[in-house]
Amino acid sequence: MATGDAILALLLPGPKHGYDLKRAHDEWFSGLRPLAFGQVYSTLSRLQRDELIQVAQTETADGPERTIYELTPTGRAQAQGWLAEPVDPNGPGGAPADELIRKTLAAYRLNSDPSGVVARQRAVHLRAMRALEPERGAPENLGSSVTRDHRRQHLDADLRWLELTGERIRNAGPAEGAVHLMNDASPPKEQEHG
Amino acid sequence: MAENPVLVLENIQHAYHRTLAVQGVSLSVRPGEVLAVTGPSGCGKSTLLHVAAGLIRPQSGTAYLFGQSLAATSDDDRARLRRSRLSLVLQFGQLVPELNGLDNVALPLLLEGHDPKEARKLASGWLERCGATELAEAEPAEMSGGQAQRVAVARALITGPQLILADEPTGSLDSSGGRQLLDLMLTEAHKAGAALVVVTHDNTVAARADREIHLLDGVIVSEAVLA
Amino acid sequence: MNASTRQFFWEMSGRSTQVDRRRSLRMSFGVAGSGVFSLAAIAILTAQNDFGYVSYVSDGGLRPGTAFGVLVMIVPFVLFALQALRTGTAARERRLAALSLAGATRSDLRRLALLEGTRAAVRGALASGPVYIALWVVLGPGMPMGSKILPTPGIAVVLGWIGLVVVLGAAGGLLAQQATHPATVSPLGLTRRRSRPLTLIGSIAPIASLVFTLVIFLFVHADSFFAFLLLPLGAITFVVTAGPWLVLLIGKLAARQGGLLTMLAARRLLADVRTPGRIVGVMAAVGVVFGIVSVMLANVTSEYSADSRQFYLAGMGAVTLAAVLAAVVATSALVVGATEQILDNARSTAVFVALAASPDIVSRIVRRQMLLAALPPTLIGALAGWGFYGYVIGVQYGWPLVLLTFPLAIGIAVLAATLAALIATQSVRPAILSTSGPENLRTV
Repeated sequence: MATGDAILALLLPGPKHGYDLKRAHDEWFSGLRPLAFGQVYSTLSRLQRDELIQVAQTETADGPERTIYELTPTGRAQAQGWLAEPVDPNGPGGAPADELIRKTLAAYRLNSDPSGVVARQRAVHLRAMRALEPERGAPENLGSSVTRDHRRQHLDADLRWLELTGERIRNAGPAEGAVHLMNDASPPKEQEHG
Repeated sequence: MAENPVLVLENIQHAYHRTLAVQGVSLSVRPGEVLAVTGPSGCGKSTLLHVAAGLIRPQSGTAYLFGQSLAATSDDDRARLRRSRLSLVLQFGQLVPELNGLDNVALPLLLEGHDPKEARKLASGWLERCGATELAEAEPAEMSGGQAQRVAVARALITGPQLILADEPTGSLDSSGGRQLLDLMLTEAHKAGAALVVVTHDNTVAARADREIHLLDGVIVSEAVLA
Repeated sequence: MNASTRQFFWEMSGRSTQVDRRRSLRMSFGVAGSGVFSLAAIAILTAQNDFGYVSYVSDGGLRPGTAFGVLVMIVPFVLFALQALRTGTAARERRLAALSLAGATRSDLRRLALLEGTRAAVRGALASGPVYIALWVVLGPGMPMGSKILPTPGIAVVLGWIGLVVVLGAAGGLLAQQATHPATVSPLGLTRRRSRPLTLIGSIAPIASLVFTLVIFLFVHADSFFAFLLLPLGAITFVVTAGPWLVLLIGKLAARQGGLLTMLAARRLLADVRTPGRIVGVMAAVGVVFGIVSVMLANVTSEYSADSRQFYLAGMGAVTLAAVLAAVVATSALVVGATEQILDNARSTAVFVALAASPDIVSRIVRRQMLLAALPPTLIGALAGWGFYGYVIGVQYGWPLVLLTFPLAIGIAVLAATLAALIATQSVRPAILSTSGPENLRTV
């Protein structure tokens, strides 16, 4: 539920209504496919059902009625957990690209230790790559080598992207208007410097 | 009981032409550990390695090799260190062009003043272990990149070093050649109980390390324990 | 080639890096040195009989010999100029490669080299005139009566000077053009310079010149002008062309030695036998002079009266001085060549230092390399000179005296060669230090 996590993250800075969420999503993740309105509302209702968000208030200023959503404590914890937890590269097809990009950009927008997000992701990827090493002395066959090569090369591509993104983030400085929200994010497993 | 680290860098700073290559890096390497230092080109990783090898004196900070501060040693002492307890493997062109494969491997022992016959016998054994017996008589100019690196690894191992510093050792090789060389280095370093610090921009090399340090603009931006 | 291209080439040949400037300066120095000695020879040959000159100049019978001796001094300077021409190759080739990448053709590059060489040679030849005047002021009017060495420059010297500018300028250009040959310049950088192996001509020349010299020596009457002119000419050709072979032999013998430093020194020597080979000739000639002078010294001091003793001693002093000057110039050429080798192989030096050695060890290797290049030829020369002249004197005056001079001949030769090697090593030390830093580890 990648879209769900992204919407939870978008709500971290404060309550928003559906249209705001779509606009904020398309702005934060401007390189990705824009979010369809239908998708926004179906996701919101699912998140509400799972008690991750709740209605903050309903506006009826001018025109149609607008519902403003905010995170529940569980939702907030989940959003922070999502940001802190690296994408698992071991699933079928490797790490989903949208997920990697959204998580990194969200961490940057929220000023919630984006370099740490990149660093933890890097460690997870390197470990996955290390796990691909065949047992010493184990017989190699074409099938396993070809599969391993495919996975290794994809992990390598992700790692290169992470390196580049880490550099970009470092050079870009803190995101404009970002609020530091992650006072209680789960402690990173890896040490960080700089 | 924690063993004493073989290499400690304390707040190393070094600049070239007013460009800070390394700005305040600290790290330590345990005996037998494999540490990968990664980062884009120009991030200062080679400078760091040169500091660790005592090839350059950092403008500030201290490097300790085997518990001994490098700041207090003379050029000759450091040269002696480089041919006894510490070995270097570089990217390419590191063989002395005037010497054949065998003499290149024997070089550290010959410089130490060992009996040439004994030194060459030992060298021949290491060439064999590194799968490069056929290169004993070859001149460096006649060797392929992978062959030259094998000879270089044999030379790095002949002194039974406690620390091997490698600067992009697979940088001039294709992926399968690089993999083979890395296998060789890891296996032999492990057998000898030597720590290995490998500077690389190749993630597949970094993934084989016990620990990875990522540098950006001369600063450690992340450190990951892989094993 | 239109005017603007010509203008461009002229500018390119003058615009240059520090390395290029140093090369053309050295070349100019070598040309100027040979020019000065040429002018001196002309001046001596055309000198009016006059009081005040030393007998070697004023005596019509001795004059041609003196002029010839002066002319021989051209050799080390020419060798120095040739050596200078071959320096800065790595840097120059990079520049040529860049030009070639930008579309310059091979003939463009050769033209560039021609201009560069001509420029340096003309500058040197032009300088030789004023330098001669300056020397003349010191060694002519500046000397007491009876000891004046250089004659007053007359019209012949002026004409000779103009001739030198034309001849040396043309020769310098052609030689510079020739020197670009061994480097294969490709737009994508350079195929690594390989040391040129000794050619067929290289192997025939010393044998031919030796046979020629022996034939003249044995079959032409020693007093004839022919023998007087051709004998030394043949001997010089032999010594200069045999030089590389001697270096090759020394290198091979030393390389087989077990010691690491000697072996490395020998291998470095073998990597380019031509450069030290050219110097070997000069050092051998210097050795011959030392050998002869030692015997002569003993002979003259024991046999002649005070008057004639002074005459001989002055001559011997001048010859020894000339030999020392030749050795200094040869040593400088050796320094230039060795520096070049070190700078060309910067990474090799850096790697060597990085892996196992201190810059000091590199210095020691270079010292040994210099000794290997300088000592054997000087010794061989001294032995040959001592043997030849010692035989002549021994037959006439008896052997004990000759045998006594043996340690003197050998001693002077060893001292001179060792001194030359030490000076050369000391002079290349900056190059060693500058190439031993880790920043050279990655330069391709």
